[in-house]
Amino acid sequence: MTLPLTLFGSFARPRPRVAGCAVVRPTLEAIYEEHFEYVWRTLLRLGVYPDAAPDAAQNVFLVVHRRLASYDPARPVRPWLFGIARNVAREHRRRVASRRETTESEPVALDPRSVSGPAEHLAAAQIVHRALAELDETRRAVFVLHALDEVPMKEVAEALEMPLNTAYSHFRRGREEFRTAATRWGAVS
Amino acid sequence: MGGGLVTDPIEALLAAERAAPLEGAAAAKQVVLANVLAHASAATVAGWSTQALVLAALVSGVTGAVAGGVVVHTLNDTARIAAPVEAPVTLPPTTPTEPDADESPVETPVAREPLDSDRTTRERVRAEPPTARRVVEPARPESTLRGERALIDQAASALRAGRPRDALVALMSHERQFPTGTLAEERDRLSVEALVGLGRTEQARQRAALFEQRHPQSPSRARVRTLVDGLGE
Repeated sequence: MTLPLTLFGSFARPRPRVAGCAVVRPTLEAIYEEHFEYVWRTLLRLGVYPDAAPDAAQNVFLVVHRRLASYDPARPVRPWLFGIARNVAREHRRRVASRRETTESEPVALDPRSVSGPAEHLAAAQIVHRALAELDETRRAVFVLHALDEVPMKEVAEALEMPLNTAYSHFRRGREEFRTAATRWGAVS
Repeated sequence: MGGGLVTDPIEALLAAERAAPLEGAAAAKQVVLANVLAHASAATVAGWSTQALVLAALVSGVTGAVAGGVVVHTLNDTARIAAPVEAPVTLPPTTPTEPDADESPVETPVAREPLDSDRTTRERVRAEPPTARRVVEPARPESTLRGERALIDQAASALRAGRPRDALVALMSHERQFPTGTLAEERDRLSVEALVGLGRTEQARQRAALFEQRHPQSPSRARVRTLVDGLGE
Protein backbone atom coordinates (compact mmCIF):
# COMPACT_ATOMS: atom_id res chain seq x y z
CA MET A 1 0.00 0.00 0.00
CA THR A 2 1.52 3.28 -0.98
CA LEU A 3 1.52 6.26 1.29
CA PRO A 4 0.11 9.47 -0.14
CA LEU A 5 2.33 12.08 1.40
CA THR A 6 -0.17 14.87 1.15
CA LEU A 7 -2.62 12.85 3.16
CA PHE A 8 -0.30 11.41 5.68
CA GLY A 9 2.88 13.37 5.78
CA SER A 10 2.79 14.15 9.43
CA PHE A 11 1.93 10.65 10.51
CA ALA A 12 4.66 9.00 8.56
CA ARG A 13 7.80 10.40 10.13
CA PRO A 14 8.81 12.41 13.10
CA ARG A 15 10.09 15.81 12.10
CA PRO A 16 13.85 15.67 11.75
CA ARG A 17 15.75 17.44 14.46
CA VAL A 18 18.08 20.07 13.10
CA ALA A 19 21.26 20.30 15.10
CA GLY A 20 21.07 23.14 17.57
CA CYS A 21 17.39 23.79 16.88
CA ALA A 22 14.66 22.76 19.22
CA VAL A 23 11.64 21.28 17.50
CA VAL A 24 8.95 23.92 17.56
CA ARG A 25 5.79 22.97 19.37
CA PRO A 26 2.82 23.49 17.08
CA THR A 27 0.07 25.77 18.33
CA LEU A 28 -3.46 24.64 18.92
CA GLU A 29 -4.54 26.76 15.97
CA ALA A 30 -1.98 25.20 13.64
CA ILE A 31 -2.96 21.67 14.60
CA TYR A 32 -6.61 22.57 14.25
CA GLU A 33 -6.17 24.15 10.87
CA GLU A 34 -4.22 21.27 9.44
CA HIS A 35 -5.88 18.31 11.08
CA PHE A 36 -9.50 19.21 11.77
CA GLU A 37 -10.76 17.18 8.82
CA TYR A 38 -8.61 14.25 9.83
CA VAL A 39 -10.04 14.32 13.33
CA TRP A 40 -13.57 14.56 11.96
CA ARG A 41 -13.09 11.66 9.58
CA THR A 42 -11.44 9.57 12.26
CA LEU A 43 -14.35 10.15 14.63
CA LEU A 44 -16.82 8.94 12.02
CA ARG A 45 -14.72 5.88 11.38
CA LEU A 46 -14.56 5.12 15.06
CA GLY A 47 -18.32 5.13 15.43
CA VAL A 48 -19.34 8.71 16.16
CA TYR A 49 -22.60 9.58 14.44
CA PRO A 50 -22.38 12.45 11.95
CA ASP A 51 -24.60 14.79 13.91
CA ALA A 52 -22.55 14.23 17.05
CA ALA A 53 -19.31 14.89 15.21
CA PRO A 54 -19.15 18.65 15.97
CA ASP A 55 -19.37 18.02 19.69
CA ALA A 56 -16.96 15.12 19.52
CA ALA A 57 -14.47 17.17 17.50
CA GLN A 58 -14.77 19.92 20.05
CA ASN A 59 -14.03 17.48 22.83
CA VAL A 60 -10.99 16.23 20.95
CA PHE A 61 -9.58 19.73 20.60
CA LEU A 62 -10.33 20.58 24.20
CA VAL A 63 -8.14 17.65 25.13
CA VAL A 64 -5.53 18.75 22.60
CA HIS A 65 -5.55 22.17 24.23
CA ARG A 66 -5.20 20.73 27.71
CA ARG A 67 -2.43 18.32 26.81
CA LEU A 68 -0.50 20.36 24.31
CA ALA A 69 2.15 21.22 26.87
CA SER A 70 2.90 17.57 27.44
CA TYR A 71 2.91 16.61 23.78
CA ASP A 72 6.40 15.87 22.44
CA PRO A 73 6.65 17.87 19.21
CA ALA A 74 9.38 15.58 17.92
CA ARG A 75 6.74 12.91 17.51
CA PRO A 76 4.23 12.91 14.67
CA VAL A 77 0.97 14.57 15.54
CA ARG A 78 -1.59 12.30 13.93
CA PRO A 79 -1.05 9.22 16.08
CA TRP A 80 -1.47 11.49 19.06
CA LEU A 81 -4.69 12.93 17.65
CA PHE A 82 -5.87 9.45 16.76
CA GLY A 83 -5.40 8.34 20.36
CA ILE A 84 -7.42 11.27 21.65
CA ALA A 85 -10.14 10.77 19.05
CA ARG A 86 -10.27 7.12 19.97
CA ASN A 87 -10.99 7.94 23.60
CA VAL A 88 -13.61 10.51 22.70
CA ALA A 89 -15.28 8.09 20.29
CA ARG A 90 -15.26 5.36 22.91
CA GLU A 91 -17.03 7.67 25.32
CA HIS A 92 -19.53 8.60 22.63
CA ARG A 93 -20.31 5.00 21.79
CA ARG A 94 -20.84 4.23 25.44
CA ARG A 95 -23.40 6.99 25.73
CA VAL A 96 -25.42 6.02 22.71
CA ALA A 97 -24.74 2.30 22.72
CA SER A 98 -28.28 1.09 22.70
CA ARG A 99 -29.80 3.45 20.19
CA ARG A 100 -28.22 2.96 16.81
CA GLU A 101 -30.22 -0.10 15.92
CA THR A 102 -33.54 1.56 16.41
CA THR A 103 -32.84 4.90 14.80
CA GLU A 104 -30.74 4.22 11.76
CA SER A 105 -32.00 3.09 8.42
CA GLU A 106 -30.33 0.44 6.36
CA PRO A 107 -27.51 1.54 4.08
CA VAL A 108 -28.25 1.27 0.39
CA ALA A 109 -26.63 -1.65 -1.40
CA LEU A 110 -24.07 -0.76 -4.02
CA ASP A 111 -21.21 -2.17 -6.03
CA PRO A 112 -18.15 -0.34 -4.71
CA ARG A 113 -16.25 -0.94 -7.94
CA SER A 114 -18.53 1.36 -9.86
CA VAL A 115 -19.28 4.18 -7.43
CA SER A 116 -18.73 7.73 -8.53
CA GLY A 117 -19.81 11.10 -7.30
CA PRO A 118 -20.40 12.42 -3.79
CA ALA A 119 -23.72 10.68 -3.21
CA GLU A 120 -22.35 7.23 -3.94
CA HIS A 121 -19.17 7.92 -2.02
CA LEU A 122 -21.31 8.86 0.95
CA ALA A 123 -23.33 5.69 0.56
CA ALA A 124 -20.11 3.71 0.47
CA ALA A 125 -18.84 5.55 3.54
CA GLN A 126 -22.03 4.63 5.36
CA ILE A 127 -21.48 0.97 4.63
CA VAL A 128 -17.87 1.24 5.77
CA HIS A 129 -18.84 2.91 9.02
CA ARG A 130 -21.58 0.41 9.74
CA ALA A 131 -19.23 -2.46 9.06
CA LEU A 132 -16.49 -0.90 11.20
CA ALA A 133 -18.94 -0.60 14.06
CA GLU A 134 -19.10 -4.39 14.22
CA LEU A 135 -15.39 -4.83 14.76
CA ASP A 136 -13.78 -5.30 18.11
CA GLU A 137 -12.45 -1.95 19.32
CA THR A 138 -8.77 -2.78 18.99
CA ARG A 139 -9.15 -4.43 15.60
CA ARG A 140 -11.12 -1.44 14.43
CA ALA A 141 -8.33 0.93 15.46
CA VAL A 142 -5.72 -1.17 13.65
CA PHE A 143 -7.89 -1.53 10.57
CA VAL A 144 -8.75 2.16 10.38
CA LEU A 145 -5.12 3.21 10.68
CA HIS A 146 -3.75 0.71 8.22
CA ALA A 147 -6.50 0.17 5.66
CA LEU A 148 -8.11 3.61 5.63
CA ASP A 149 -5.35 5.96 6.77
CA GLU A 150 -2.76 3.84 4.96
CA VAL A 151 -0.32 4.05 7.83
CA PRO A 152 2.49 1.48 7.55
CA MET A 153 1.91 -1.38 9.94
CA LYS A 154 5.08 -0.68 11.89
CA GLU A 155 3.80 2.77 12.76
CA VAL A 156 0.36 1.41 13.53
CA ALA A 157 1.97 -0.91 16.06
CA GLU A 158 3.92 1.97 17.57
CA ALA A 159 0.90 4.26 17.71
CA LEU A 160 -1.21 1.63 19.42
CA GLU A 161 1.65 0.42 21.56
CA MET A 162 1.54 -3.21 20.58
CA PRO A 163 4.06 -5.64 19.07
CA LEU A 164 4.19 -5.67 15.30
CA ASN A 165 3.02 -9.27 15.06
CA THR A 166 0.05 -8.52 17.24
CA ALA A 167 -0.86 -5.59 15.04
CA TYR A 168 -0.69 -7.80 11.95
CA SER A 169 -2.83 -10.41 13.59
CA HIS A 170 -5.44 -7.82 14.59
CA PHE A 171 -5.39 -6.47 11.08
CA ARG A 172 -5.93 -9.83 9.41
CA ARG A 173 -8.84 -10.71 11.63
CA GLY A 174 -10.23 -7.22 11.38
CA ARG A 175 -10.09 -7.30 7.60
CA GLU A 176 -11.99 -10.58 7.43
CA GLU A 177 -14.62 -9.35 9.84
CA PHE A 178 -14.86 -6.13 7.93
CA ARG A 179 -15.28 -7.95 4.63
CA THR A 180 -18.07 -10.09 6.01
CA ALA A 181 -19.83 -7.14 7.61
CA ALA A 182 -19.46 -4.87 4.58
CA THR A 183 -20.91 -7.55 2.34
CA ARG A 184 -23.83 -7.96 4.67
CA TRP A 185 -24.38 -4.21 4.83
CA GLY A 186 -24.76 -4.06 1.08
CA ALA A 187 -21.38 -3.87 -0.59
CA VAL A 188 -21.96 -6.20 -3.51
CA SER A 189 -18.91 -8.37 -4.01
CA MET B 1 -9.72 6.57 -6.38
CA GLY B 2 -12.35 6.76 -9.05
CA GLY B 3 -13.23 3.09 -9.53
CA GLY B 4 -12.27 1.16 -12.61
CA LEU B 5 -8.74 0.27 -11.67
CA VAL B 6 -9.53 -1.26 -8.32
CA THR B 7 -10.93 -4.73 -8.70
CA ASP B 8 -11.19 -5.85 -5.10
CA PRO B 9 -14.60 -4.64 -3.93
CA ILE B 10 -13.35 -4.06 -0.40
CA GLU B 11 -10.44 -1.95 -1.60
CA ALA B 12 -12.86 -0.07 -3.84
CA LEU B 13 -15.20 0.43 -0.92
CA LEU B 14 -12.42 1.83 1.25
CA ALA B 15 -11.30 4.12 -1.55
CA ALA B 16 -14.86 5.40 -1.90
CA GLU B 17 -14.98 6.09 1.83
CA ARG B 18 -11.78 8.09 1.61
CA ALA B 19 -13.26 10.08 -1.25
CA ALA B 20 -16.55 10.76 0.51
CA PRO B 21 -17.22 14.40 1.32
CA LEU B 22 -17.24 15.33 5.00
CA GLU B 23 -20.74 16.67 5.44
CA GLY B 24 -20.94 19.44 7.99
CA ALA B 25 -17.22 19.49 8.73
CA ALA B 26 -16.51 22.81 7.03
CA ALA B 27 -19.30 24.55 8.90
CA ALA B 28 -18.24 23.02 12.19
CA LYS B 29 -14.66 24.03 11.56
CA GLN B 30 -15.75 27.64 11.69
CA VAL B 31 -17.01 27.42 15.24
CA VAL B 32 -15.34 24.58 17.09
CA LEU B 33 -12.00 26.29 17.59
CA ALA B 34 -13.64 29.46 18.83
CA ASN B 35 -15.58 27.41 21.35
CA VAL B 36 -12.46 25.64 22.50
CA LEU B 37 -10.63 28.96 22.85
CA ALA B 38 -13.54 30.52 24.66
CA HIS B 39 -13.59 27.63 27.05
CA ALA B 40 -9.86 27.89 27.55
CA SER B 41 -9.88 31.64 28.00
CA ALA B 42 -12.68 31.59 30.49
CA ALA B 43 -10.71 29.01 32.42
CA THR B 44 -7.37 30.78 32.28
CA VAL B 45 -7.10 34.21 30.68
CA ALA B 46 -10.04 35.71 32.47
CA GLY B 47 -8.82 34.18 35.68
CA TRP B 48 -11.72 31.82 36.10
CA SER B 49 -11.26 28.28 37.14
CA THR B 50 -12.96 25.58 35.14
CA GLN B 51 -15.15 24.85 38.13
CA ALA B 52 -16.23 28.47 38.26
CA LEU B 53 -17.03 28.29 34.58
CA VAL B 54 -19.14 25.22 35.01
CA LEU B 55 -20.82 26.78 38.01
CA ALA B 56 -21.52 29.95 36.06
CA ALA B 57 -23.01 27.89 33.27
CA LEU B 58 -25.21 26.08 35.72
CA VAL B 59 -26.34 29.29 37.36
CA SER B 60 -27.21 30.83 34.03
CA GLY B 61 -29.32 27.82 33.35
CA VAL B 62 -27.47 25.82 30.76
CA THR B 63 -28.41 22.29 31.63
CA GLY B 64 -26.19 19.30 31.38
CA ALA B 65 -23.09 21.41 31.79
CA VAL B 66 -20.07 19.24 32.20
CA ALA B 67 -16.57 20.12 31.18
CA GLY B 68 -16.56 20.39 27.44
CA GLY B 69 -20.29 20.09 27.20
CA VAL B 70 -21.06 23.61 28.26
CA VAL B 71 -21.11 24.98 24.77
CA VAL B 72 -23.07 22.21 23.19
CA HIS B 73 -26.21 24.20 22.53
CA THR B 74 -24.42 27.09 20.98
CA LEU B 75 -22.31 24.83 18.91
CA ASN B 76 -25.15 22.78 17.57
CA ASP B 77 -27.22 25.81 16.78
CA THR B 78 -24.42 27.62 15.09
CA ALA B 79 -23.29 24.65 13.12
CA ARG B 80 -26.78 23.94 11.99
CA ILE B 81 -27.36 27.48 10.92
CA ALA B 82 -23.99 27.82 9.30
CA ALA B 83 -24.15 24.65 7.28
CA PRO B 84 -26.10 25.89 4.28
CA VAL B 85 -23.91 28.95 4.08
CA GLU B 86 -20.84 26.83 3.73
CA ALA B 87 -22.10 24.50 1.06
CA PRO B 88 -25.72 24.02 0.17
CA VAL B 89 -26.06 20.28 0.30
CA THR B 90 -28.58 18.88 -2.08
CA LEU B 91 -28.15 15.25 -1.25
CA PRO B 92 -30.55 13.47 0.99
CA PRO B 93 -28.76 12.33 4.12
CA THR B 94 -27.28 8.90 3.77
CA THR B 95 -26.74 8.53 7.45
CA PRO B 96 -29.73 9.20 9.63
CA THR B 97 -29.32 11.33 12.65
CA GLU B 98 -29.18 10.47 16.28
CA PRO B 99 -30.26 13.34 18.44
CA ASP B 100 -29.08 13.31 22.00
CA ALA B 101 -31.84 12.50 24.39
CA ASP B 102 -30.98 15.47 26.59
CA GLU B 103 -30.99 17.94 23.73
CA SER B 104 -33.98 19.86 22.56
CA PRO B 105 -35.53 18.05 19.62
CA VAL B 106 -33.34 18.22 16.56
CA GLU B 107 -35.08 17.87 13.28
CA THR B 108 -33.63 15.40 10.85
CA PRO B 109 -31.64 17.39 8.33
CA VAL B 110 -33.52 16.53 5.20
CA ALA B 111 -32.26 17.90 1.91
CA ARG B 112 -31.23 21.38 2.77
CA GLU B 113 -33.01 24.22 1.12
CA PRO B 114 -31.60 27.68 0.99
CA LEU B 115 -32.18 30.52 3.35
CA ASP B 116 -35.92 30.78 3.86
CA SER B 117 -36.56 27.40 5.34
CA ASP B 118 -33.41 27.77 7.32
CA ARG B 119 -34.56 31.01 8.74
CA THR B 120 -37.54 29.08 9.96
CA THR B 121 -35.17 26.67 11.61
CA ARG B 122 -33.37 29.52 13.24
CA GLU B 123 -36.54 31.02 14.52
CA ARG B 124 -37.59 27.73 15.93
CA VAL B 125 -34.24 27.39 17.63
CA ARG B 126 -34.64 30.85 19.06
CA ALA B 127 -38.23 30.31 20.00
CA GLU B 128 -37.48 27.22 22.02
CA PRO B 129 -34.48 27.80 24.22
CA PRO B 130 -33.77 25.11 26.76
CA THR B 131 -36.37 25.40 29.45
CA ALA B 132 -33.96 26.06 32.27
CA ARG B 133 -32.44 29.00 30.46
CA ARG B 134 -35.81 30.51 29.87
CA VAL B 135 -36.69 30.21 33.51
CA VAL B 136 -33.46 31.45 35.01
CA GLU B 137 -32.42 34.31 32.78
CA PRO B 138 -35.32 36.66 33.32
CA ALA B 139 -34.83 36.34 37.05
CA ARG B 140 -31.57 38.30 36.88
CA PRO B 141 -31.89 40.53 33.85
CA GLU B 142 -29.68 43.36 35.05
CA SER B 143 -26.74 41.29 36.13
CA THR B 144 -27.08 39.26 32.95
CA LEU B 145 -26.94 42.36 30.85
CA ARG B 146 -23.98 43.63 32.83
CA GLY B 147 -22.18 40.38 32.15
CA GLU B 148 -22.97 40.65 28.48
CA ARG B 149 -21.92 44.28 28.35
CA ALA B 150 -18.59 43.54 30.01
CA LEU B 151 -17.67 40.91 27.44
CA ILE B 152 -18.77 43.03 24.50
CA ASP B 153 -16.91 46.08 25.80
CA GLN B 154 -13.85 43.96 26.38
CA ALA B 155 -14.05 42.72 22.80
CA ALA B 156 -14.61 46.19 21.37
CA SER B 157 -11.66 47.70 23.18
CA ALA B 158 -9.44 44.76 22.21
CA LEU B 159 -10.42 45.38 18.59
CA ARG B 160 -9.63 49.08 18.89
CA ALA B 161 -6.28 48.19 20.41
CA GLY B 162 -5.47 45.94 17.48
CA ARG B 163 -5.87 42.68 19.38
CA PRO B 164 -8.49 40.83 17.34
CA ARG B 165 -7.60 37.49 18.87
CA ASP B 166 -8.42 38.72 22.36
CA ALA B 167 -11.57 40.22 20.97
CA LEU B 168 -12.59 36.92 19.46
CA VAL B 169 -12.00 35.11 22.71
CA ALA B 170 -14.30 37.51 24.54
CA LEU B 171 -16.90 37.28 21.81
CA MET B 172 -16.91 33.51 21.82
CA SER B 173 -17.20 33.57 25.54
CA HIS B 174 -20.24 35.77 25.11
CA GLU B 175 -21.67 33.44 22.52
CA ARG B 176 -21.25 30.51 24.82
CA GLN B 177 -22.79 32.17 27.84
CA PHE B 178 -25.44 34.24 26.09
CA PRO B 179 -26.15 32.57 22.75
CA THR B 180 -29.32 34.57 22.23
CA GLY B 181 -28.44 37.42 24.53
CA THR B 182 -29.53 41.03 24.27
CA LEU B 183 -26.22 41.96 22.70
CA ALA B 184 -26.04 39.03 20.31
CA GLU B 185 -26.28 41.30 17.30
CA GLU B 186 -23.37 43.42 18.42
CA ARG B 187 -21.41 40.30 19.21
CA ASP B 188 -22.00 38.82 15.77
CA ARG B 189 -20.96 42.05 14.07
CA LEU B 190 -17.79 42.35 16.14
CA SER B 191 -17.00 38.69 15.43
CA VAL B 192 -16.83 39.49 11.73
CA GLU B 193 -14.55 42.42 12.46
CA ALA B 194 -12.30 40.30 14.62
CA LEU B 195 -12.03 37.57 12.01
CA VAL B 196 -11.25 40.13 9.34
CA GLY B 197 -8.60 41.54 11.65
CA LEU B 198 -7.10 38.09 12.06
CA GLY B 199 -7.03 37.59 8.32
CA ARG B 200 -9.39 34.63 8.58
CA THR B 201 -11.10 35.57 5.38
CA GLU B 202 -13.19 32.51 4.87
CA GLN B 203 -14.40 32.44 8.44
CA ALA B 204 -15.18 36.13 8.27
CA ARG B 205 -17.37 35.48 5.25
CA GLN B 206 -19.10 32.65 7.04
CA ARG B 207 -19.78 34.80 10.03
CA ALA B 208 -21.01 37.63 7.85
CA ALA B 209 -23.47 35.31 6.16
CA LEU B 210 -24.49 34.02 9.55
CA PHE B 211 -25.03 37.58 10.68
CA GLU B 212 -27.44 38.18 7.82
CA GLN B 213 -29.34 35.06 8.70
CA ARG B 214 -29.54 35.80 12.37
CA HIS B 215 -30.25 39.51 12.11
CA PRO B 216 -32.12 40.08 8.88
CA GLN B 217 -33.54 43.37 10.17
CA SER B 218 -30.32 44.76 11.55
CA PRO B 219 -29.26 48.25 10.50
CA SER B 220 -25.68 46.94 10.62
CA ARG B 221 -26.19 44.52 7.75
CA ALA B 222 -24.67 46.81 5.15
CA ARG B 223 -21.74 47.57 7.40
CA VAL B 224 -21.06 43.89 7.99
CA ARG B 225 -21.30 43.18 4.31
CA THR B 226 -18.84 45.96 3.56
CA LEU B 227 -16.39 44.37 5.96
CA VAL B 228 -16.12 41.21 3.92
CA ASP B 229 -16.92 42.48 0.44
CA GLY B 230 -13.46 43.84 -0.19
CA LEU B 231 -11.65 40.74 0.99
CA GLY B 232 -9.53 38.77 -1.44
CA GLU B 233 -9.17 35.03 -1.33
